[in-house]
Amino acid sequence: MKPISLAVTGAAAMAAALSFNTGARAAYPEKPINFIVPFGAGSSFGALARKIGQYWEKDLKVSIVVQPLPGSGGRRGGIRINKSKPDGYTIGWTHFVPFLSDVYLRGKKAAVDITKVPIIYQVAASQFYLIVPKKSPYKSVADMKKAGKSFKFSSTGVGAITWVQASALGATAGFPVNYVLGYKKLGDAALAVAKGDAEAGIGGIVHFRSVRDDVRPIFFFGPKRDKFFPDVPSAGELGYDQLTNLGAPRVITAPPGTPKAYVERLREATKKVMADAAFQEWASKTGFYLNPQGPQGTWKGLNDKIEIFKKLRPIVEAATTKKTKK
Amino acid sequence: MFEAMAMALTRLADPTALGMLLLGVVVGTTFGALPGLGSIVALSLALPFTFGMDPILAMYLFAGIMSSVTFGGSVPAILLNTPGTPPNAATCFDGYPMAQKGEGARAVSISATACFVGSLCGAIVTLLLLPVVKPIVFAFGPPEFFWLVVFGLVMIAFASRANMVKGLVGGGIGVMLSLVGYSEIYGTFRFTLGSDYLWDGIPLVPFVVGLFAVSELISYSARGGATVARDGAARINWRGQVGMGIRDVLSRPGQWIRASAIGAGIGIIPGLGGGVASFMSYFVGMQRTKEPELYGKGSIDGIIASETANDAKEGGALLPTVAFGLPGSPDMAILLGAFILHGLEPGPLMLRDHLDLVYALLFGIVFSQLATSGLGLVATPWLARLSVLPSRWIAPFVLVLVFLGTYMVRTNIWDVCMAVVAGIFGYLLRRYGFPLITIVIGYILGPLAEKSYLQSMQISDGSLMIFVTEPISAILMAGTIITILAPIIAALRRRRPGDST
Repeated sequence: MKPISLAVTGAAAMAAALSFNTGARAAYPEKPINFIVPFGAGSSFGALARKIGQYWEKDLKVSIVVQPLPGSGGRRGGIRINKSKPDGYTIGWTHFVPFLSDVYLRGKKAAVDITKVPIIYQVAASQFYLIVPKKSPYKSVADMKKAGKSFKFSSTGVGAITWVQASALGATAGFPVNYVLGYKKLGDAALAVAKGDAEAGIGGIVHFRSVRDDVRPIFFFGPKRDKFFPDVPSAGELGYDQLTNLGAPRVITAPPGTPKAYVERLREATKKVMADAAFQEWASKTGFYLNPQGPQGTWKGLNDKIEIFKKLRPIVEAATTKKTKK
Repeated sequence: MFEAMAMALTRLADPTALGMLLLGVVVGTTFGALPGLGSIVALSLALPFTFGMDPILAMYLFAGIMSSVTFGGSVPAILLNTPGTPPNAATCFDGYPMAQKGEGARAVSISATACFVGSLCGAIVTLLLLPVVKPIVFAFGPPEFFWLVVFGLVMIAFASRANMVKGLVGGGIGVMLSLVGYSEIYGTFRFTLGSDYLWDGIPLVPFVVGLFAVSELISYSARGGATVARDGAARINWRGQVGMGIRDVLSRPGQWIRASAIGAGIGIIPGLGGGVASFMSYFVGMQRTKEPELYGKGSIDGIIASETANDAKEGGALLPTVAFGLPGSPDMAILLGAFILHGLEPGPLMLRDHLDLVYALLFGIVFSQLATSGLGLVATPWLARLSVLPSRWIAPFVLVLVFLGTYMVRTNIWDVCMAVVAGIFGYLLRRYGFPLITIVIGYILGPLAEKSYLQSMQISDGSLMIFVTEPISAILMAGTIITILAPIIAALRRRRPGDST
């Protein structure tokens, strides 16, 4: 190719690239964005999506259509997001925990390769408490350890986030754990604790506040004490640092292949929401633990979880083998 | 308390509030009548529109939708043997035979009246039990659930008196189909054939709608004609049937009071749901009716039992939702989301700080039901004429609605395929005399039975004594055993005098 034509071609290519880039920024978004929520209508994930959507609508000047897509412990919605057309008009919460659980707890192939998921922004991370029935003689983790017995925890299912947290707590604090499983929601699992069907349970304030007269939080899975229950000791202060990062992250993601400019635009919009005082107040009042993180911070948290899941795998294998033998 | 009630009632007189209620009624009735859609889709679509709205107005909109869906769903169940929503399936068994006899308007009128009395009774139960809801919810654990569900499964034998073997086989098929999907308790996928579509099991709406509606449409098209012969239709007094339907319900207070109690009671217990309420009430009604031979062949008591319980459960389900933040039904789960979005916190604090909202919802449900039933009764003579339309006109139209409805629930094209497969399966089962009702009972109750049994065993460390040592559990067990033994003892007694002669 002649130098002049090479220069012209190069200039044209650069101009095209620039015009595409600016064009993309100027044009996006130009139609409603679908925000997939991997849980049923009325879920806390849905409430948070709708609230963020209200702010996005003002900023992005398009409608945000929140689409609940429940199923398979949050997997179905994640699959839909990640198999959608990467045009920036379908995004949503990818609930990472079940996918991590499939791969690192059960050694199965996950339906979504989470390493390829473009992260827009981590908005919050659930922070859970260990709760016991109000009348329980065990008032601390130390009491439970001293009892020298196993404790029955209510949970939604094997590999669920509360199952992981209970297993990790038992293994770290030094008491055996077994389960009453199959509760549809964490609220139902908290009710089981309140009724005395289980000796302990794991849940956030949003899950156990309706039965708070009948349960007692005795341990907080966070680095520091929580403002809602300042008398309850945290994992951090008791030296259980490995338990402080077990909450489920609430991460907005896009399908793999989504143009970076679009992902960046949505990230900027989300950062503005996070900085809004009214949003922060609403989130705090509603019981959401805001934990804003970009892709790097989100991946650090996910990688920490992967390490914990790997350590828990022998416990899962033992549990599933026992059940199969039964 | 009375101040909060007065405030809620005063708000009802506001034209905007009335407008919201009526909008909810129109949306709810339409979504109920379109097979496959139902209240979950209607409420999910309405939820975003309530942003920024006065919470009380939002509650009126939700109340309008929740209370009207049931009646809407009963109309195609009666006239086309196609349940608008899964809980309306029990209404098909007596509603459709009435429509075939040219009594479609009477059956729809029974449904409209039963829905209203059910709603009213459900609201009264809620008002009465609001102060004592906690002990009721706390009294029901996995062993109690187990016996309730076993009672329902035992009813399979009664539901198929004509052919008990085929009925039990149908129930077994239903239970087996319900086992497909992810098991939280075992942490494994079962019988999913490597397909991620089956991860959550066979989806309820496409399965039930396909089993009933598509199979009926196949039969309908195969035999031709209409639900009612056109030559006989000219002699039918559609308007007169409306009054008859109202009188049918009002003259049977025992039926609707019992159905209301069952519906509201099941609504209070989180996790059971509308399908269980209507089927349970239907079977208990079957045991108590004075005309058992008519059950399943156009029994008035059958329609009253299922539709009254279906509506009464809404009031009952509201109790754990507002008192504990635990949804008593899938509709209530969406309502719970609406509470959170509007900055309301369900639970003891809501009963203390926002009692007016709770009453607004309750009164809204009753008023909306009054509007739904009133409008329904006015429209009944025209609606009932659907039963004389030739199948070649109606079948394609209903089929399109069925496919659209099943698709829209999850926007998944495989759900439409599932409805077709279930329809063909249902058609074959009908042809060979398997009662579809038993398959649906097995399908709905199977997973509940499995879960409550396994949870009970986990709680008791494997001891079966948990099923008999708890008082309520023991009472429910005794009730189930009596239900099984009573007809056997009665038959033996009847045989004895015969033997001696």
